[in-house]
Amino acid sequence: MPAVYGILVAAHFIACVGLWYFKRWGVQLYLLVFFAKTIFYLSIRQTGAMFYANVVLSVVFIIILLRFYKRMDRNL
Amino acid sequence: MLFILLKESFVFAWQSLVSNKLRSFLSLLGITIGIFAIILVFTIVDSLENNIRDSLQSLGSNVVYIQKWPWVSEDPGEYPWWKYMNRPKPQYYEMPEIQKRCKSAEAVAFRAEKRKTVQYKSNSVQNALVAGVSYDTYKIKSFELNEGRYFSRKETDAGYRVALLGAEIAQGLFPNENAIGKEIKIAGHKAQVIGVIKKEGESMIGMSYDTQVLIPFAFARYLMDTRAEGTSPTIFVKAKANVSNDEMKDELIGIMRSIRRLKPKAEHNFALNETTLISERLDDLFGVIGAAGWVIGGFSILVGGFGIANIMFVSVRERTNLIGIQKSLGAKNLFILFQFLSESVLLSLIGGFFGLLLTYFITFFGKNLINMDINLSSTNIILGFTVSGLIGVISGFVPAYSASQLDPVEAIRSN
Repeated sequence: MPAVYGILVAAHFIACVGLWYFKRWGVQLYLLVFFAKTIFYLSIRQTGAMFYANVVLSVVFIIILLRFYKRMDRNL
Repeated sequence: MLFILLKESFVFAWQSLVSNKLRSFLSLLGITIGIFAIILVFTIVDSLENNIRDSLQSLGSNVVYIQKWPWVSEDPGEYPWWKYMNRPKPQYYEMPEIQKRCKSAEAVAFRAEKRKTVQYKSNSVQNALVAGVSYDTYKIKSFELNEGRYFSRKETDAGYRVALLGAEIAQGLFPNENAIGKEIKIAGHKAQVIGVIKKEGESMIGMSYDTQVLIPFAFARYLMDTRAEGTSPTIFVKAKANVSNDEMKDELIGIMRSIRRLKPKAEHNFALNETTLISERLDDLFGVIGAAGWVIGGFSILVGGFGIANIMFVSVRERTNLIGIQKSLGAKNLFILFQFLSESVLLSLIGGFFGLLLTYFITFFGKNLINMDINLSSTNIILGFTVSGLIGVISGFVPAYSASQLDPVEAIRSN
């Protein structure tokens, strides 16, 4: 479990780098990590107040990202 | 294609690391120390937990201990010792009553113990744990006899002066001869040795038979005040195979209240303890120690990660010309990215490997020093490599990505 969580943290960091460079793959990876993290937390039953706050914040962030998605760079 | 890409990236990475040996060594030192700290804490915690759990398991998870003091507080938040202190101690006469009335019990036994000196001629063992037990004790916590036999029912009921010796006690009293049939002295009282218990080995919670002398309870009454606080009188009740501990505890509460003639509104004046109470507390305790391990090692790894990121930025800066030439010859962004990412992952994995190696040596030599079974488990090895690999990815990604984004013309021009 710690190893899986580590992979998710690393992927989240990489997604943030992609977003920093305004890349489409950053948004795609961010979405993927968001769903993977949510499933991970649900599977280990860590669904406290922080979990719901994170989900709400991430959803807001994803909506903002999707509005800019078309203007982002397609390349790596 | 991907395999070739990875292979070439690793070859480039390896050449770079080998050409800057001292720099590579210094940058992987942080990761080595971090992985060493985390995995060493986890290894010790795991070993400690396994040893304690094995010891608890040997006591039996389906045994309920009727005692005066509860192992954990019955009231939430505090441990009202002043209340428990006034409770009566379990008595021997309560055991047959439980045996008679409890339908869910497979076996019921009584035990009271005290440290005494045991002698045979000029040999003596100081502070041996002398336990007065009832006949069914062997059904509660089973043991094998190395030689001799177990008590007969007549011996335990009538209090014959016979004794079963633990392996270490027997070794101490009879180093060069057979113990069976010999007459020993327990606190000045003669007793005949009828059996020697097989060596069990160290127990983390001190319940090994190796350092104990078992005698019939009726005989123990001559050696110790079995109603005194220091003898820890306990009634053991083992549940039948298809009965849960909770079911049996419900029945025992009714029986004990009836034996002690407690009024309906009066509180219990006895404690029903079980090993699961300790196991639950252990989960919390080891969870905290594990978290402390993550924090201690985490800071080291964080510093190590910054070190690797720094070294990777320097590496990209040094090889900007090379990146430009590679890109102008057709190298894709992904190739440059993998090239630098592989270098940081490789660096980090080597650091992790040395950290694990250090942990292995420490556990190997420490095992003999502290006389505890410590083993570096495969789970911890995988964890060590995963953490170091991920640190390599995280700390190397930004430099690698910035290298992959370089303009070839600008890169070739730079010095």
